[in-house]
Amino acid sequence: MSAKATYLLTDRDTEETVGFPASLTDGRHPAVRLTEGFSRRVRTVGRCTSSPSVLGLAFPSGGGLRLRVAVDQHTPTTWEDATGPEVPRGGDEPRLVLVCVQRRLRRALLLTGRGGKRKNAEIHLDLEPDEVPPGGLALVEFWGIHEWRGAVAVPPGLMPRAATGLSVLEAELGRGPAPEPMPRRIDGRTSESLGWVSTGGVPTRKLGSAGPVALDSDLFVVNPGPALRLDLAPLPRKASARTRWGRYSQHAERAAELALQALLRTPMEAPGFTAVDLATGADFAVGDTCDPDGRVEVRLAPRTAPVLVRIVRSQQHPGLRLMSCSAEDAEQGVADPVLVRTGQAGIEG
Amino acid sequence: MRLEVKPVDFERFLGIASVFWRNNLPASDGDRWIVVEALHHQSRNVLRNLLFANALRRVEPARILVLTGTDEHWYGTIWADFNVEKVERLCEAFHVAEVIDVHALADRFTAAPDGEPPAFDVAGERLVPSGEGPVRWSGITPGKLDASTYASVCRLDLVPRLDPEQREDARYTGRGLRSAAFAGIYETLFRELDTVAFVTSHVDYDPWGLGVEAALRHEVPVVHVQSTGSLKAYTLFPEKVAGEPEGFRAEMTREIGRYFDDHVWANREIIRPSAELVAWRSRSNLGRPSWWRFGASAVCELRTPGERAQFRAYTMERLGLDPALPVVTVFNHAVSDALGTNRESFGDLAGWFEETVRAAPTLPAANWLVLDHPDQDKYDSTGHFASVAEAHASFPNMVFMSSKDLSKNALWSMTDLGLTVRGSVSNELPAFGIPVLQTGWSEWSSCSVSTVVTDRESYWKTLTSFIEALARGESLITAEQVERARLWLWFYRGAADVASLLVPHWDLMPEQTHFRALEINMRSVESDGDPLFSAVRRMWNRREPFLTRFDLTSAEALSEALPADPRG
Repeated sequence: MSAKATYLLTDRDTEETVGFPASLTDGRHPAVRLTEGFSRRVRTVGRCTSSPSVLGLAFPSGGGLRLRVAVDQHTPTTWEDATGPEVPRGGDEPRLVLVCVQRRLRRALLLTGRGGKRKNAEIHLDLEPDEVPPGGLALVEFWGIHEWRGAVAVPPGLMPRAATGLSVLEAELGRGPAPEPMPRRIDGRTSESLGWVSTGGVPTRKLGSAGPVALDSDLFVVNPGPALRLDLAPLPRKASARTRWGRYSQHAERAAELALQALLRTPMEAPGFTAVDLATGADFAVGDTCDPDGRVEVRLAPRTAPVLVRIVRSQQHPGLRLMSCSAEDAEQGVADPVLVRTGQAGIEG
Repeated sequence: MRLEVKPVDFERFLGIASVFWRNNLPASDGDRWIVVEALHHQSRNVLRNLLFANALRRVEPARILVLTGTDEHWYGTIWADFNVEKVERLCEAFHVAEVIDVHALADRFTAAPDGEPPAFDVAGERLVPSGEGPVRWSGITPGKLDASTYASVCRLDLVPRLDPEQREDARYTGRGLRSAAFAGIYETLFRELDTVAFVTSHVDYDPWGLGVEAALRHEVPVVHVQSTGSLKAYTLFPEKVAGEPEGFRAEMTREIGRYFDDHVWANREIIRPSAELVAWRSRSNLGRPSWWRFGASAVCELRTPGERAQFRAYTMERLGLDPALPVVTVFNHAVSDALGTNRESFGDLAGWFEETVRAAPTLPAANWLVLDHPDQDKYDSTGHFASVAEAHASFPNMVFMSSKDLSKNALWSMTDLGLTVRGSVSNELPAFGIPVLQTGWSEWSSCSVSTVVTDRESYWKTLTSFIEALARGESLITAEQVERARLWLWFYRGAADVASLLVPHWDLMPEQTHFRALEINMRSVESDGDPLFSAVRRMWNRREPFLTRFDLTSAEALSEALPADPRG
């Protein structure tokens, strides 16, 4: 046995060089160095088989890290197979997944995949050179909120072992920051795609297109970044009007719209908002104003950790959709958002 | 024997096997016998025993006597199925001279009055039990007989130990009588028959262990054919035992240690490139035997200290352990597994576990990761691990969990010291630089891989000093121990694992496929030079303690057999 830095190595170990930036759509890529609770796949990076689940990725000395993840039709079956009988079986509750990189909580994802429909989300962040140790490994951890050992009280109505079944579709390692001018405002779907907010995920057919995004539950996540203003509006129709035939029927849509307007004309309490810092468990201040049309403006101060926002609304309230997000700062009113990908639909410069 | 093969395929297999052995066995009409055990429900065990025995007949022409059958305890608790008729059909195809339902014979022994020894026939020869002493018709000591009964009852009842009341009850007494019957039968066989060898798949518990005990007393070589890998078999020759045999496992531990030092360690320069390859494959969970973990969680991907440190930080957080303290990992064994069959410092496996866990809070300079055996549900019905965990739930820096819930990456990133009695972690972890303190003997425990203590006092003393040394940042393992551990991996998984077309690999399942593979090889491949025959001949003629793929005693032969260092 030759002298080695560690007894973990054998003389038969070889170092596979990874060129950066690297794009991964295969779990056998040499950049996927080590895993736990994660099953490597062929046309995707792989799938989490436990919560928490870990992905160790080769990484250059600093740069951008982008991960595209999803819940899909295989998520519930993976969860069912991997989860012991001691965990209560629920329905299709939203999954709140906390993402740590280099042991620091960076992002949170709220994913709702009712009926096995695929919902996508992206994680964008930059690692500083001093965050990547010699040897270059980015250790990405996916934690379900129930398993997270932080100080946060677990909100009711969320799926336990939430990371189990999450699919990691692709990864980009070491890409530099985008040089394009920063936008002032982006639509709801784009802000979801970029990971500014996480309200349930983006359906695959709507990826890359602009538009509002319906809040699937009374929870959503606002990820770290500058001060942010969220514009929310009532859902245009009641959920009960969204029948299979109604999607194609102007008559049905019109009926739903009228029903909504009638609903909004009735006296109704404006929704309220509370928020908690997911790193500390402390309450996070949320400012909100509501106009007579039911549109709501929610303001959050700059955040260093993801914030979980809860909507408090009456049973009669039709629900909300996120129309747009605007990055602000105290002096100029609009600041440069830090998380932007070039060519993204819905960015208003 | 459980055998799930379609009747038509089984018949075809029997026909081909019968012709094969007709053409590959010498005449064996003499008075010598090879006694072969066929008491296990796994057909693979029975097949391997018969294959080994027939290979041995080419060296020592003899007739084969097969012992088979089952009883309600083994059938009810552990066996999935047992079909004596299929054993008999298989034996016929392997040209076995005689098959005895040893359990049915044990019923006769148990029922027989003291003055009327139950005589029985073997190939027309009448064997009459005899012998004076405290155990009817056997020379075994009452202590050894009771130890065998105790281990059998614990295994059959899936309990870590029995209390004094349980040792007086009807079930225990009944099992004791049955053990005495087995002892009497084996005594009669080995005293009356000119026996070349006793070939068995197991060496513990009353149907097997008492056969081994009687064989050792009557100076009959015992061949232990292993239930894993290609073909592994350990043999204890009576001339290798100095004085009163301490027991099969204890004697083998000494024998293996001697052989390892003389022929493996001494040739390490030649073996090293191959040992490195086996270590690399072992870390990646390639190759067999490696039965305690399967799947993606069984692979260790850590390669550098940096990766280990990063992963360790995550795992410590996940388990809520103090990152400033070293981690001592306690590997609980399957608590009813072959109790008392090798040297141990504690009364039983559960006793070691309980006392170690109880002592942990008195050694607060370490985190304690306490892992249960992955197959504990097959060995314990009392919830022993859970009860110990519950009693220590309030202690900080102590985590109890099933080892199946932790990946190898996590386990190896955290563990600074492993504790076990006889588990295979004591050769696996040292191969990658993680020290292990062992409080009992195992096959490899005389190969200087782990630190083996001989009594309780030295266990506590060594454990305390090891934790203190870890706190000082000192290494507890030497480069020599790491190399010895890798050589052991090579020896166990390579050199002593004979790959033969006549022995399907243990993992080749289901049984239909297993038998089909053997059928094809018996029908389609010429038998001359098959490693089964050459390895058995070499082991037998040289009186070596195990089968080997090649001649390990000659440096020249080894150099020829093994590849040179690929790095030049």
